Amino acid sequence: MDVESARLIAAALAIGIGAIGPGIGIGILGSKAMEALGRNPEARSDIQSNMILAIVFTEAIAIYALVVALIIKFV
Amino acid sequence: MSKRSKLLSPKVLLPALLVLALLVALFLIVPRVALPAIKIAAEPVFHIGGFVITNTMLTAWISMIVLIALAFFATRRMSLIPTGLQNVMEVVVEAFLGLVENMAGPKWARRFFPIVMTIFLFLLVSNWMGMLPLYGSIGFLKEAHGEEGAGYVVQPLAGNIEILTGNKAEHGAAGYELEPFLRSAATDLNLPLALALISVFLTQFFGVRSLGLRYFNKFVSINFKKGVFNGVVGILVGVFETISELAKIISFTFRLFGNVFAGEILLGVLAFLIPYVISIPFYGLELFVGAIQALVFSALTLVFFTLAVKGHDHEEHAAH
Repeated sequence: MDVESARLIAAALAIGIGAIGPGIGIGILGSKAMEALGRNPEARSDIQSNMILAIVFTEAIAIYALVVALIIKFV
Repeated sequence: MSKRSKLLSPKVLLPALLVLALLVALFLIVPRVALPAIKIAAEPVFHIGGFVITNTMLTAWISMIVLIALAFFATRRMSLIPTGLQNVMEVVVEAFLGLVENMAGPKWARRFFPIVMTIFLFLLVSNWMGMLPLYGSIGFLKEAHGEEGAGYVVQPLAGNIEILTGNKAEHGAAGYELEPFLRSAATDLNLPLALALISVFLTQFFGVRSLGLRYFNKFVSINFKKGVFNGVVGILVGVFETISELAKIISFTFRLFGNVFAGEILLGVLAFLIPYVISIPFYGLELFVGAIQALVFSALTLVFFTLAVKGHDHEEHAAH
């Protein structure tokens, strides 16, 4: 296998596998937030802001994987 | 009337067929779009002496000019009962000040507010301006290097100006690619890195302002009074805190860079795949992401400032 093909496969795998964890994580966050919202609708703004904060942290992991994929492909 | 006949009635069917015909015409008749040349490093536009001015530097300056102009026009002839632009800016500033006071407490809120608000406004303006029409579409047409047939055919428009068509250059013909004059500022790794460094260093500064030099006990805690084991654990915790601070720089940088850069690539590649149509909903996504990333950068900066001035013993582990 030559370098170019290996690069393409590596870039695809990097972002593909790297997005699994954060995807599941964000799903869990969202579902727990919905649950909390259902239990206590008055705390809506608190739940919402904390959920968004946590989602951004989780998404950052997926962004790291994306940056690695971009570096493999374009640098 | 049953639901099925309502859907197939001429009132619904005719516009649907029209839209379908329009889409088919789009793919067949209308010119294709070139795939944007994706480079992580920013391209230089001109040189001042030995100093290189890149396109992202230009856009950062434009964002700064827009913010300064906004501040100038909002604050001249200020009145106690605000109207017009002053009113809009007061809404934004007050909302954010409320957020900062909620998070940091009244004593530190006014000290944190300028830098946090500046980071938010600068990133918001530069992310949103990066989606204006001129950004990324006007620039130099350079010969495309790289794989065989990487560039696109160029069509002359008027005088020196040429248009990059969507047709790939055949073997023999010169292939070109576009190096834009203006490129969204946060797509250059340097800007997120600079803001992250400012943010983390200011965290240390505010920590020292609040706690004095005892702030550095967070990183270097050699305390064997409670036994050797606890002393070793203390040292390890200090090492982890140091690594965590460095990791904050990296995570700030790559969160902002990754989101904005990937958004730019997404819009360019979608415009290449299905021209003129698919980009529209993704522009909405990009607006949302740009605003959220600006908010997150400044909110996280605020959170770390607040944690730094509170001191380690009051730290709530849930906030980390």
